[in-house]
Amino acid sequence: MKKISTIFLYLLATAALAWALPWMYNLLLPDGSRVPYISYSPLSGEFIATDQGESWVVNPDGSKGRGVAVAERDSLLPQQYFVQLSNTGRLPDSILGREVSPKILKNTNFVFRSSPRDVNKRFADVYMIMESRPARVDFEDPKEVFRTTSDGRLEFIRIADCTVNDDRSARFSKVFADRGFAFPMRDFSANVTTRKPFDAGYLMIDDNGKLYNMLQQAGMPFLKAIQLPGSVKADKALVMENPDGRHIGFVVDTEGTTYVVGSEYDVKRLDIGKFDPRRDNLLIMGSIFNWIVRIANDDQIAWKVVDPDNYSLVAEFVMPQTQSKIEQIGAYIFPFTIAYDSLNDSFARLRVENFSLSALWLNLVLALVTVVVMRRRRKQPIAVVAAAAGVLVVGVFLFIPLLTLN
Amino acid sequence: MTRAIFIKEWLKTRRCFIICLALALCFAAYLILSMNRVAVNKGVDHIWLIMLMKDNMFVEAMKYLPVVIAVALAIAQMAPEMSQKRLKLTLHLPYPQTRLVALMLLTGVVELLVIYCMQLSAIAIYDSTFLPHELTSRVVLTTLPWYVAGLTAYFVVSAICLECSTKRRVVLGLLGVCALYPFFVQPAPEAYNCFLPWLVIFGFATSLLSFCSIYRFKEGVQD
Amino acid sequence: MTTNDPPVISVKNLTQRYGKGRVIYENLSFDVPQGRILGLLGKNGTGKTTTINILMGYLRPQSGTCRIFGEDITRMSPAARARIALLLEGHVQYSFMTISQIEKFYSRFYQKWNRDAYYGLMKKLRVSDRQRISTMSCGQRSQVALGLILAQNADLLVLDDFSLGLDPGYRRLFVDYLREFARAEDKTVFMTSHIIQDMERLIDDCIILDYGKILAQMPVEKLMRTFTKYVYLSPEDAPLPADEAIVNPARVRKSCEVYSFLDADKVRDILSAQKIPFEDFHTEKMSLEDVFIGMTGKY
Repeated sequence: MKKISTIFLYLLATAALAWALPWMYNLLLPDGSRVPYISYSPLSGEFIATDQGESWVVNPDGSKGRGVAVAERDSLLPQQYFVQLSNTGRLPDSILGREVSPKILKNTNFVFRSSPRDVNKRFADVYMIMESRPARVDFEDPKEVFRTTSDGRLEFIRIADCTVNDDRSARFSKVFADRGFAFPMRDFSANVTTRKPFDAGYLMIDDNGKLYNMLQQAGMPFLKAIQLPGSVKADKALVMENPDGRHIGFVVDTEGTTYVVGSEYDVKRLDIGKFDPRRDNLLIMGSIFNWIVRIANDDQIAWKVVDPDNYSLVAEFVMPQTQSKIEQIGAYIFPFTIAYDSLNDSFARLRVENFSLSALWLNLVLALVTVVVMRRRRKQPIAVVAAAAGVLVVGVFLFIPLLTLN
Repeated sequence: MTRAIFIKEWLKTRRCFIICLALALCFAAYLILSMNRVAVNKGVDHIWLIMLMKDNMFVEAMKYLPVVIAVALAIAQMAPEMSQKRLKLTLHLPYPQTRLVALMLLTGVVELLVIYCMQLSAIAIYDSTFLPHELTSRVVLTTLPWYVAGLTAYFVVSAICLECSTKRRVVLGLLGVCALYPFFVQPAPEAYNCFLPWLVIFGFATSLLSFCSIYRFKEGVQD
Repeated sequence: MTTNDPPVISVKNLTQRYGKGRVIYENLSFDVPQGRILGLLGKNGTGKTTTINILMGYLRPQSGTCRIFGEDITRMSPAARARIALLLEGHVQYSFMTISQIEKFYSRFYQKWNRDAYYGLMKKLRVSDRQRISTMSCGQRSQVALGLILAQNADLLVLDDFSLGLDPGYRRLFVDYLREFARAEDKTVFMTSHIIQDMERLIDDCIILDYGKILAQMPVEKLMRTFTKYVYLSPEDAPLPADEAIVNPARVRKSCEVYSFLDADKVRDILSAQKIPFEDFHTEKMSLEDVFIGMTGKY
């Protein structure tokens, strides 16, 4: 027991330092790296970066191009700065052949976000459902939730008294059975809020990778199987309810290709390359001129500009995520790091990451020091070898406990 | 002998146990009354909405309570042993020392589990009166890591109390903070579902720290 | 007991230091045979409690071995511990228990438990069975601790500074009970105390510790017989004798005193050899406390 408890103490100290030291390192030495805000001018066809009040054109290689004054920037990015342009009388009636006004631009602009943190999370096993066609003008808070049962049914529960609504459950279950929905549900997406222009209901993906749209209309079920191109198998669905009502969302297939789902259930490929909602942060800034799609992950940030009519790629710019100097130095000190959370999900788990072979040199030196120190302390040869081997692998995280917990 | 050891530990902790149990039940009552107030003022559907849309399980207020209770119980149980080095009497008992320490810790764990189970049962029973089992279990699964954190805190604070060197107490305190950090890192409901079994194993493994302190006590380690 | 019986306590070449610094003692060896009462005497800080801690397995000695009932104290079995009654300095007990709770608690651990011995002593205290030990006076707590030791009926009693904090009445009570018990039951006792006069009534053998060394290790009777205090008159400007065999020479005006294991003739010879004028040379009878002070000095 003495040996086991001592080994556990050292393991705990090592793990604690593997979390605490990199955390303190980053806290004390912020790397100061910032990504500028980057947009795309439909007029000049250039990416324009803005940071701390300064704007410049981004060269194709990512370097800083010519500077752009504020007035010029407003003109180059009318989809964003139309209020400023309108206030100074510089907003024309049409741009690139499209009629523009502050009202038109305001109503057609949209922002859509998808974060892996919101995708990779444990959802409740009951789902709220809204009435898509409320009796009055405004949407009302849901009065019922539903669950899916193991025998492939939907069960509606009245919120007021937590009892099952058998009638509605039977009606919805029948529609799902009739439409051939294969349980269990692989994925779903909905935006349950009363503050939205319309209700797109649920986008659901069944066990066969087929996409469905489910709505509750006047209390009755509506379930539409959405035809996907070719043999595409849907993997992830994202509901989007913009004021213009053109789209009801996106669907990402198992290959990472993204499709736009129109309000008429037309499905068109969005030409943004691979997108993994479980890994990538997505930001779409849409306007009548273009959709600027920003896809960011641990490796790179990509800005892709697509045509809002046919979703083809107009321009793109990729910025690799490089290590800062502070991070590079850290890689020589820490052979790995321990974390329990991540920006990419809402789960807690042990994450041993940022493995660095560069730290082996320091580990080697520390292992030699360990041998000298432990021999001076007249430790048994086997203990010296074990400690040195441990330090060689986990480096400074074990070296400190060995020195201080004697 | 085993019974005598349990009784000895009970005599040390019974007052603290009753206070902690009352505190835990008062907190449960507070949470229940808070939810009831929302239900009366804004309707039950508001609670459902907040739970499902805002990921608020109405238990956030008790997040650190299991740790506080565990710390109090560990101090109540272990501090008398170290006061005037009374532990010498305990270790001198004609009983295997490892088993003796394990029984001491087991007493504390049982007391904590009673407190935790009663508190969690009160909340879960109330929730189940107006929430589906999915949401009740979501509440329970959201709070479980905090209770496991409580058990871990109990073991760490016991080790700190049983430790005879102030320097090592500080080290154990820092290690305790690091050991408890993962239990509170992720606020999302059910974020710990997969991690929880490992945390339970880890939590119980921290009981080994008390044995380290005991061995050091037996070696007469001092500052 | 026969001379072939193994000693109850056997300490060989025990060396202990404070950390890596000052030596508490070096190569301390002693045996405590069955039925003997050994007192470890010394001033504060000379290592009495340290020795008890080592013997009870609460301190790993830097070198040397200790055996009790033939068992290495670092790996003492529960059965061996059951044969040892331990009194901690200050009569520390489980103060959160009441008189009856503590008796019930200990009774589960010791097969030879003598409930009557405990309650016999408790009756004299005139305290309620339900009184918590923490609410008792130091003297009353000492009686509870003594009662528990008597009830345990152990073969070896290890008592660390039993007289600490006790007024003379309780000290006397403690000593009388203990002596009676140890003599009647042929118990072996290893004890320390800083009040030497209590020990004189109790112990058979003694070890006198000084800072970093052992001054004497022998039966008390022999110590009292051989260690002598000599008093003589000498001019105020005459030096005090300086000899390894003479310890702690002191002077008050013309009156000088020296202590030695040597007989009177040899001490006289030393004084003469060192050309120290003296007259009215005589011995003085000493108590154990006088012997202790003579040996260890007043400071």
